[in-house]
Amino acid sequence: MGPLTVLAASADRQALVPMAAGYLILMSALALGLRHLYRPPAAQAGPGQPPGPSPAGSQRRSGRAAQARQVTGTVVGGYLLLMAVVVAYYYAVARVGPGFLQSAVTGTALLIGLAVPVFVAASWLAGRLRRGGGTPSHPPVRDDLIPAREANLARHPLIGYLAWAVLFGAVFAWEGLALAGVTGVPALSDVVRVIMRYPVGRWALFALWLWVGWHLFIRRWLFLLRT
Amino acid sequence: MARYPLIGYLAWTALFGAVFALEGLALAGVTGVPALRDVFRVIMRSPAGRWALFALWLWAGWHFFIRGWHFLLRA
Repeated sequence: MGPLTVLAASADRQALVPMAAGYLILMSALALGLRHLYRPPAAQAGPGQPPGPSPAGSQRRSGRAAQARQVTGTVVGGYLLLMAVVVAYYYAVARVGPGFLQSAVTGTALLIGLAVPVFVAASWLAGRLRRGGGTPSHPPVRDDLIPAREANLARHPLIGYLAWAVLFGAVFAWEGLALAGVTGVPALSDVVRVIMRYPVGRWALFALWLWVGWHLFIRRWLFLLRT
Repeated sequence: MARYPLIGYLAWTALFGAVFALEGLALAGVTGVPALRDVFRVIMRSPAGRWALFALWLWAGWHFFIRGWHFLLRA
């Protein structure tokens, strides 16, 4: 096996392993969610889950407390998962640069630190705007109502979710080809770098990233906790 | 910065265009097309899905905005 073949195989491994792993993790979570969503209602309340609201006054928590618990769980769990993947990638796939692990640990912590005040401000502003619009703010809700509200998710035909899965697959596959060094295929980082050449592009992209985070992990829960 | 043929960037544009088109169809109320929001909600039903999506979001931020820098811009 010549050095070029080894290099190509190594590049393929470095590119395909994270892309395939990322896609599989995301699709497994989608499959799990769909399985739960399409299960008959009678099968949804397992032996460990209460079938309905618990006696009044027994497990009352404020909507804010439930949201804080959800967000904290998501942040801690997501951060630890990312660190596990980064460490596994570094030791099992590719020993990229000496400061890679340090940058991953501190850089992501820095991003969380930057995002938190923005999310707090955005939530405060959204709350004020809602109150200004005459919509009541979130009243306290029982903790056990949250899964019940989630069960009210719109149910679309499976083919619709499959279309999204195929589209995500195309994005991951194209990125994988780029990272494997296929000629003429720029990686997403290259596209982003073109946008980020100018300050306006950097600001817009960072704002978009923050908005996506707030929309997915904070605002979503405000929405779910609303009566 | 590496220069690629225009067709490579056009392919990315087409992929993102497809994402926006599908989302547009969903928001327009075309029957059977879930919005991206619905897909993410299904993914985030389980704690593992929430962690995976948060990890992906955090990774994107680190990869695009931080990676290559030193902590607090230390030399």
